[in-house]
Amino acid sequence: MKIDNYIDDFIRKEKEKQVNPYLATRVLAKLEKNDEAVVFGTVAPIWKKLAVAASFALVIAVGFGLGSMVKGDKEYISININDAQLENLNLYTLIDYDE
Amino acid sequence: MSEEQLIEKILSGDKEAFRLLMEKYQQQVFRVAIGFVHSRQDAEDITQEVFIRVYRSLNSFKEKSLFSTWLYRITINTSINYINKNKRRNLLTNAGNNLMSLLNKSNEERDAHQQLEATEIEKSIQKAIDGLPEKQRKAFILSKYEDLSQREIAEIMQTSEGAVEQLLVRAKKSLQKKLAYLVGK
Repeated sequence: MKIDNYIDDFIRKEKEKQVNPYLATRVLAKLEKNDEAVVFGTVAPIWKKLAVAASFALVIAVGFGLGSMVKGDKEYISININDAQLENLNLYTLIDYDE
Repeated sequence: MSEEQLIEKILSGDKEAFRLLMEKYQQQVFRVAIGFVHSRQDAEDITQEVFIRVYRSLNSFKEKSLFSTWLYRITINTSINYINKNKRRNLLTNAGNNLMSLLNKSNEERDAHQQLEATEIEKSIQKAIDGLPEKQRKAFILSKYEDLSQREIAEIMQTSEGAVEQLLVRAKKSLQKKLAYLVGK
């Protein structure tokens, strides 16, 4: 048998194969499913992003609000700090040191 | 209904028109795909993918060329992408099939032996076609599986008729060289 005949035989057998008659239905079903996925796929993240942004804004606004609501007299304790008293250099320089 | 009307209807969202278009061209797409992958399941997957791509990009179809020419281009590109994506899986499948045929060889009788030989020949032809350089393979499949003229192939491949002729001659020579050992069988 010639090589061309082998090849032609092989191709003829492959060409005889028929496509699944339900293929068109399957494709249409897949397209419908993808359409739905696209709708959900685009809407859901936007809502998520909006919700996250809104909750951040809310937390910050509440923080400012609560902070500005705090009122009242503030009591300060004055501390008189004298460096010369705190650190007497004579201790280190041994001036006026009595044995 | 003419092709243009059908396309217009699809573009306006008519899915039934798209079904008609698919039914008209599905066998053609399937045949080209099977020429590339040699498996019914894979060819059906490709056909499905091709029509999904067609549906999504139909608005970019410029009626400068025939719809079938555009469809053939999409089919060829999808088939080649599919093959590249599934290379590793195909290697494993082939290894499994070879192992199975070896196991069968030791168990079965003479008739089965002849059948195996026929299967081996088919596998060799398949391997030889798959081993052709990409352009030669495209031209060969369009010529042999779709019986297209050199002019039509040239239009699909966006090249000259002379180039297609060269590709077909080289493909034929290459296949004959690779399959020369079959002559004695």
